[in-house]
Amino acid sequence: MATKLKTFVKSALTQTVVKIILAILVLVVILSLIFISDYENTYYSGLYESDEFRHEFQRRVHNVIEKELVLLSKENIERSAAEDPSYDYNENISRWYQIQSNLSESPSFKYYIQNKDTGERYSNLMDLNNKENLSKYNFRLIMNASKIEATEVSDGKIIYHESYSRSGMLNAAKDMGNWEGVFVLQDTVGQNDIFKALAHKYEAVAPFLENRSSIYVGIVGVVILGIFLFIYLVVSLITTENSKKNISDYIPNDLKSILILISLSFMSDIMWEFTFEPFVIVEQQSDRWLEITIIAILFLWLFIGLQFTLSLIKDISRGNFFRNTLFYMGLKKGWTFVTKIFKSLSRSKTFRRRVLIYIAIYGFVNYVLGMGLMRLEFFGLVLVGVFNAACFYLVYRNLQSLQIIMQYVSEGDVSAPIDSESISPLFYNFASQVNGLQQNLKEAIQEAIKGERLKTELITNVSHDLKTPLTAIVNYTSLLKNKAIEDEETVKYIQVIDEKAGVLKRLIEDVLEVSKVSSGNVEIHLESLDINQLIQQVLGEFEEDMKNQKLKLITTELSTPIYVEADSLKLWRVVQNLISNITKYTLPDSRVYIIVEDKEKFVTVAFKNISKEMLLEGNDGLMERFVRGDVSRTQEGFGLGLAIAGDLMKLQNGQLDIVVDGDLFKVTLKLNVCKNHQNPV
Amino acid sequence: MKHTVLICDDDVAIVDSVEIFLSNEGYHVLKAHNGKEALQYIESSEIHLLLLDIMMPEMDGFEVMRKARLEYNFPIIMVTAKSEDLDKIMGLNLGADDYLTKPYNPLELIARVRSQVRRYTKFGGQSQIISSGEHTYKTGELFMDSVKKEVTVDDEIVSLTATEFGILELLLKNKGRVYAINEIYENVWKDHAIAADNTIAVHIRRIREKIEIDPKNPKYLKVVWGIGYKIEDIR
Repeated sequence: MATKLKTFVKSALTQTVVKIILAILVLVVILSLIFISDYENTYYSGLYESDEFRHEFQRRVHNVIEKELVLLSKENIERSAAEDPSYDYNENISRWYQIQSNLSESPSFKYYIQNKDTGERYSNLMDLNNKENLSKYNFRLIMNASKIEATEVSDGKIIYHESYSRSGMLNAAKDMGNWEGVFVLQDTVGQNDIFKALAHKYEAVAPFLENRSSIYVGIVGVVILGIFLFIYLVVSLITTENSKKNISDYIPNDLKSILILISLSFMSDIMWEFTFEPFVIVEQQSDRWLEITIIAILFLWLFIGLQFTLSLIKDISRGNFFRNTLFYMGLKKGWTFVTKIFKSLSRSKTFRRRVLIYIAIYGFVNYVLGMGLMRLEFFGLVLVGVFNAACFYLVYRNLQSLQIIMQYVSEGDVSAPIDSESISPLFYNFASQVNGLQQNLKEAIQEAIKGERLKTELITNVSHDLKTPLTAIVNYTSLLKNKAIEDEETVKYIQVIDEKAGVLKRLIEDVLEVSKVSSGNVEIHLESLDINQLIQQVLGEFEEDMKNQKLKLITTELSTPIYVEADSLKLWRVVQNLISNITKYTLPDSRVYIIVEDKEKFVTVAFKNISKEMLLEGNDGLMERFVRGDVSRTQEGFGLGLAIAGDLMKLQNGQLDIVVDGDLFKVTLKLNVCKNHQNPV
Repeated sequence: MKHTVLICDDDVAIVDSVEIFLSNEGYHVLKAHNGKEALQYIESSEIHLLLLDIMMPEMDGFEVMRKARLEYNFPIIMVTAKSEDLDKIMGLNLGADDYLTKPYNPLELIARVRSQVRRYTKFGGQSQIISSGEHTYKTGELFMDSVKKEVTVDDEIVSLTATEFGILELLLKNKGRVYAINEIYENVWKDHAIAADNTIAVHIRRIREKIEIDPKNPKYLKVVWGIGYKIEDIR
């Protein structure tokens, strides 16, 4: 239950409703205050002393005097205009109609004026003596040559009495003599009458004014309620963590504050001017709409203002009021921008800063020359041209230096440092850094070469050391073999030792060769030789072995020489290794293909055979595995021969590729064709 | 008469085993385990052949050879674990007559020892130039009489087929010249090479097997891979 209440209290909907209620309450208070203050002032001493009433009444008093004593009649105006050319006919005739209209708006306004000397009278009362329906208020006016005396009487009491010296208003009536007038209001029925409206309004407002103390109590109550609601909103706002942000939260705080302050003065102006008159019979509908619009704007303003205020309070309570200001953001952005510039300027030690300085100097000099140009004319133009040409030459030289450096770096030639004389001063540092890099690289390469050489030496030495004990083993095995041993098993054991000694010997030789070949520690003498003849020669060596395995050899035409560029001994080593492998590992009674193809620029030799044993899956990096020795471990006898062959081919600018497709084992050699072959003698 | 062979190697087991091989072949064997011992034997005894290991402590094989060659001309077979060409050339230049790389085949060792000893004892250590007629050819210890159709190596008659003899005769007549397979074919068969087979290569191998101590490492009939074959002109 409690949690339900809590969620209800904290829900966004509740808060919005509360906000609306609060806005309405404030609106009510404001309107009430406007209403009361307005009417309090107006009707402080009752209707007859209200400004509005007096204004309308006195205006008509004046109108009557003007009409009856000055303008007299339309005919009089026309006559006067005819007699006196200085008489302003238009002015007077328009006054006449205005007065007529004013009087017709207030049929209840009755007057009676009389010249005490002549007895001349004017009145719109039917019967002077009939005092029925006359208001308890009347206005008396006594005019004579020296002064005008006005007296207002209500309920028989003088509520206002004043005598003026004769003023401009009635100057025209000055000579009219000694006048006395009474002006009263008479109740009229069913007519539009300005005084009647004023009276109605007063009657409507009067009860409120009489009970204003209770209104004040009501207002105080509303205010207290409003304060409570506001406190509730503030508290729920502060206590709700991670409350959803509304639009007002995205407006910077300083902007919000300024908006509140500006709108406050603006709205207070509006409120000051605004008279809330719910009881006025407003004839024109637009006035009513204006009133409603103003109230709506007021409500909206209150609501938005409340939102703003609350969001300000939230930020203040969370301590990030300042951070959410436009000022702060601008300051921060500006600061990061400035620091960024400074950083970027200080980061590049020399280059960028210098370039910036140069650009600034370039611009400045051009500016100065440009200013000077106006006075120096042709000479100035030449000066600008020379200066710019010099600048472009410098830039060109710098770019050229940069290109030299880049070329140097890309070529990766570490033998010699960059010649600093060809580098422009701007890039001296750069070049020297690159030279430092080159120096390091050089050292690293030397270190690597040294390490490689040490490795080769170690392998060589170990191999040599292995050979001596192996010689002893071979010798004694041979001695044992020569002995007449009857025990068959012993003979078999000796046979195994002999075989394995042979394998060991070959392995040691291979390891030696691999280390030599892979480190490039071999001399290669490239010469022109006939690949076909070489294949024949090697095949001759293995003739018997091939026959024993019943291998059928299929080759391309080998009697026509095809000259390749290779090292005789090394290429023999390769071909010998391949054919030796073929005789050892080919399925007996199968065909072996050796296909030589002349492809203009290079020659390929393909050795294809069907393997006796199942080959390892795949062929990727087969040779690498031979190098690592993985295969020699699993497939006895392969040894390191293929790896050596591959390296030897590379040393002869050739290539060795292995393809394993099922049981098909294919090795392809690729060699450069010897172009300018001279028949060797 | 028993010929005396001095074996010099720091590995006792090797020396002992070689002693057995050579004793079985009827040689008198002296054993030295370092360079100094070897020099002592050389001075005190009559030596017909020296089997000299290169890598030895105290005094290495090269040093022994250099000192021995100052006074003696008995054959020296250099035995080394080093297979680099440079070491072989250096040994031969210092006065070695032959070389063997470890591990060697004992039979090959015996054959080489026999060859060197025979040559040394027969000609008294001096290279005797045999006057060769028009029908006889010689290189090293390889003789050919084209009339008798006879070939000897180290005084032992080698039996060759007619074709093999023809090929060897062609090569021996023009010592040092390299003959391509096609040329051999044309000269021996008196015909153009037609078939793309390895007949010549097979014949050459067979000749080599007959005349060489180590056919894989021929002394007389050399293969110039990819170019042809030739007979090395030795002295």
